[in-house]
Amino acid sequence: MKRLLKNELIKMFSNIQIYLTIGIGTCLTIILTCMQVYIRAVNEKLFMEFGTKGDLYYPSTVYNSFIGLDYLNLPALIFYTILPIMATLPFAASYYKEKKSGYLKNVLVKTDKNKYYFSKYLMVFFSGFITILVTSLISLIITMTFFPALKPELVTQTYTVSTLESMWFDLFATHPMVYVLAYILLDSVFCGALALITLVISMFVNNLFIVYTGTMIICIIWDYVAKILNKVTLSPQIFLRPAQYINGIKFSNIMILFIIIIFTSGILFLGVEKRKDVM
Amino acid sequence: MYFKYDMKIGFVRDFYKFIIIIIITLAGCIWFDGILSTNIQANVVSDNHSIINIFAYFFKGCAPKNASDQKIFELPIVWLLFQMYLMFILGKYPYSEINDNHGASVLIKGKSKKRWYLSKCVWNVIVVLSYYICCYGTILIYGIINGYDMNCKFATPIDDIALKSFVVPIEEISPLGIMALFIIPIITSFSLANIQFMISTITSSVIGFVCSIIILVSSAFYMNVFLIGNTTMWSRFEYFLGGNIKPVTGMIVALLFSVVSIIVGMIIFLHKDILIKDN
Repeated sequence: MKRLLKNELIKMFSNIQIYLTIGIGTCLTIILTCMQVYIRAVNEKLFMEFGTKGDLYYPSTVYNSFIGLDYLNLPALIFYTILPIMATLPFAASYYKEKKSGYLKNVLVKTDKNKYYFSKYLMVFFSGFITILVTSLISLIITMTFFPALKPELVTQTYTVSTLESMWFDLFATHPMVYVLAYILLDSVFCGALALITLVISMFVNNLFIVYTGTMIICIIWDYVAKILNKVTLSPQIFLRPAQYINGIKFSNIMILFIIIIFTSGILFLGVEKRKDVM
Repeated sequence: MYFKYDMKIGFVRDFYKFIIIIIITLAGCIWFDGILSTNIQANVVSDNHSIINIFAYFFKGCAPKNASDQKIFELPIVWLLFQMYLMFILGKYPYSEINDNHGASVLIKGKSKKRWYLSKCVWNVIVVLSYYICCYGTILIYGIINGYDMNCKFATPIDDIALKSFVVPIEEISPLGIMALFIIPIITSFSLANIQFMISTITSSVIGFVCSIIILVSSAFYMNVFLIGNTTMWSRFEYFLGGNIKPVTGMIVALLFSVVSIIVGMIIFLHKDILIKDN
């Protein structure tokens, strides 16, 4: 089992797609930071010239400039729209590729079926988790290089996590960095689960493109259905954004969805798929 | 030969994918019905049961992000899903056919890479047309069954909430203008399909799909005729409040993008070793 996990890890990190995905996320963050720094420079120049004219001025901080908490610029919107595909791109299609190329047969001749399927399940989850974790942390570090980590001043109305109905509002108001890190962790864990959806898709389809993009389409349809049913806070497109621009997001709901995905994919992959005769 | 093959494998065999868009459209129609009756009851929209309002609901898109506005920008999910699903259908077939199926043998048998590429472009036209016919047809049938008036009288929203679901024409739109509203999105989608196909030729189908999503999201965010997703949204046309894109300009730009992407894509394809597996 240990050797299998190690092999899977080597395969994951020797794959260019994981670096490509992290690169896409980093590029979006750099573009966003450039835009924010430019806007800040223009504003500061205006303040120097004309003063604040009696209005309060509070500088932009990490807590409204970090890609997850920015709600005014395009790169942040793109980042969270393509998040499901970013979670699946690095390694989630590996099972499909191994099945298609015949590699799976060779592996199963030499190793225990249970161990192989379990390690694959674990590593696909880990691939989604680590990709989003690393991408988000790099984004946070880039933002922290340019913006101060001043405590959010909610009265400035430049923070979206500003009402009691917002999830973890107390945490954001008192320990904003803990809030950001906790949300990054939440996103990473949920994206790990999204990568598992890809694993389930690869059981049923015979096309690599669908394997890669299926989760993205499912997430958009999920968002559409959530809107129709007036349950927008249950859509990953909404609750995965730390900015929480819609009130009413509940941690318990996210956890329930997470457990449903983990269990369903576990039953289908470790239960049904494992029993199929691949020889 | 290529075209016949594309029709058989990429269209007839995959026709079930169009059933999904019929279901999505139907769900949207039912959802819109609810919104219309709620708004009429609340007196925030004029009592109007014209079928054009359902079409407008699907294709209106949203207002672009105003730079000076601190409001949160929300993606129009109905429009996004509709366009994204089309790109998903279009991205699935051409290159996966070469890599996963016996498309490579067909390409060799036909003896012309140029004709292969052009055949895929014609296939793109047919898929886009069928997709829009499915959607338009579903709305039309739904409207007829539910007693909607078969005219082009737009409902007038009275407050901001109602504005989210309806478009406000500046003046009465001529029949030619109405026709343009129905035709230009088809031409634009075809352009987007060609751009995606060109990017897929250079990189991979998945990257092509991701680029399409980025173009669509950027188009929703900014109003610019060169972000071609703009002309798939009715609210961006000069006929409506807040729009400034001239239909003729939109059509010319879309056609220009189409021609350029076909030529560039074909040149690249002619020099590409297609037998290397696409990951």
